Amino acid sequence: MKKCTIVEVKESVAGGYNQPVILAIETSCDDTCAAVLDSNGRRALSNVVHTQTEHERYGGVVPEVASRAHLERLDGVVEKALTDARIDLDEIGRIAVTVRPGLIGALLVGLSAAKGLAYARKLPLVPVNHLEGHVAAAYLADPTLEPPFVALIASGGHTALYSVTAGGLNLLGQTFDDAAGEALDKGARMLGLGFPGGPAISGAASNADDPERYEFPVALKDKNNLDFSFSGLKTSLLYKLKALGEEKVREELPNLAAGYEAAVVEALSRKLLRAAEIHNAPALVVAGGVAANASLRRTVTGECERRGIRLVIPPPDLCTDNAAMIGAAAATTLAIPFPDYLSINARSV
Amino acid sequence: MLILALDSSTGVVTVAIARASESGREVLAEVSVPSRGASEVLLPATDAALSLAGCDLGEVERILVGVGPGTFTGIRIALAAARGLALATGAALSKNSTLAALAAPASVSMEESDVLAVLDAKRRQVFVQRFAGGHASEEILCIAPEELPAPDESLRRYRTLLVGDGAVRYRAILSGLGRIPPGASPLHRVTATGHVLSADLSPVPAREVVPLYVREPDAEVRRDLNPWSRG
Repeated sequence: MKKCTIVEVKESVAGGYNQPVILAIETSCDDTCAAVLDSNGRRALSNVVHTQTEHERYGGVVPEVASRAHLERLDGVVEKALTDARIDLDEIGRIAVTVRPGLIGALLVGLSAAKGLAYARKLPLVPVNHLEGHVAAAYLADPTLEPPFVALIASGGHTALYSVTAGGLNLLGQTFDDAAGEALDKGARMLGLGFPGGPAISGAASNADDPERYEFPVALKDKNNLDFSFSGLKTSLLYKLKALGEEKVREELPNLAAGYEAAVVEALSRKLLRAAEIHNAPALVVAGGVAANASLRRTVTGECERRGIRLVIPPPDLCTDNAAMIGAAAATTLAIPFPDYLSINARSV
Repeated sequence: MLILALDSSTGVVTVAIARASESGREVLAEVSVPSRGASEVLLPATDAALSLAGCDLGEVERILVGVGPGTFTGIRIALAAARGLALATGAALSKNSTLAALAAPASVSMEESDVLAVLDAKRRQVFVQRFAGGHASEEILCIAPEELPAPDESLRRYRTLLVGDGAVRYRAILSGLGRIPPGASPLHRVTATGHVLSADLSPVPAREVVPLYVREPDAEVRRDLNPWSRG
């Protein structure tokens, strides 16, 4: 067992902040990210995201291509994060890095660089769970937010509901198959729209003249659990496209996109609100890349207003992958003191 | 000048601390661990090598990293760590091919020989490069061992020595090309000492310290089979 201790925060006047700042690195998928945060993780001093465009030609994220691109860009991204924050490496008090879950080769690039930086500077290292990072994005959006609350994380790789307490995250339910973002990506592909699918479907749906013309199934809708399933939705779209034929699909593209998006939004919002009821949550958080979806934001905002529940949805740039959220999570994660972290590894799950 | 050399491109994670001066290069410590878990071993090996050499990382002026060819993930772990260390310490980076490091001990000990460095590239292929008098005399190939060309007429007068895990694995196919030492010979291992012996220590900007992949990603090779590919 590795020895873990909470890092003692020492008095410092570095960079005008009275506590050592956090440098955070995130490379779990196809965004190369670095950020600098104040020591309590509630304010980002910089947040640099380099979204890899190499994957467009493959129609989806290719792990080997992602790992190659992370290595090429990471130190430039880290240097920009420091420059943007006007912080020198000497002023960094600890280094946070995503260690799981994600593409293993991609995670290893960020972790190896973070370990090299921390080791050379004799700093503590904070290994952060990417999903806890998505939840922590809410603290950046609303620094007054405190647990308990219920959080929905919906992205291209994950769809899950958590009860968040001062003690950490407790999984309430998750997808049995595809993630919500994956369902949007695959739907967009079938409709001949671009990648990533979420924005492409939303764009097409915004031109719908009858958004309710096509109804798609919402799986597990009436089940008394907090889980999700999106594989049936995708199959249903496939059958619908076959039944309509190419010409009709072209004509009806906006209405089909609107119906498909509505089914994803309903599945997510229905289970989120059910979780809020069951757990009597005073606040809700929606995060992850799919939280950038305007229709989801609108639906959940309306429902929360009606029910008098506090809702925090981070702005879109904090919902998609970024390192500021990793730094925010690091503030409440145990740091491993120098040099006890040299042998830590990344994990895909 | 104090040098930290590291490589995790093959099944051995290897780190050395060395000193370069006008009179030559002297290895102060080497730590080499057979391991497929480069992420878990590379920095502990670095820490151990520094301790054994009685040096502090702050004294290191040059970080020399093996850029492959080898396992893609292993190469990247060493490069990401090296670039992180360089960014944090201000030490300059140098790079060297893993095949040059593999060939170096054999080249040094048998100056008149032609050395063929052969790494197992999996999928029944090898990464291979020929060295004459300690210098690369041909380009790196990624090739099936059966397809390895016989040496040029001009090299025939030298006795060729084949080293590396690829030479051991495909001994039956490759033994006609030269002598292959017994499998347990240390000449078959990539070592950081080999990097120290063979590298050009000129500083290289971090953005140019990139892997020598030699092979394209599978997604690119098989792109014609991917229905979603474009362009």
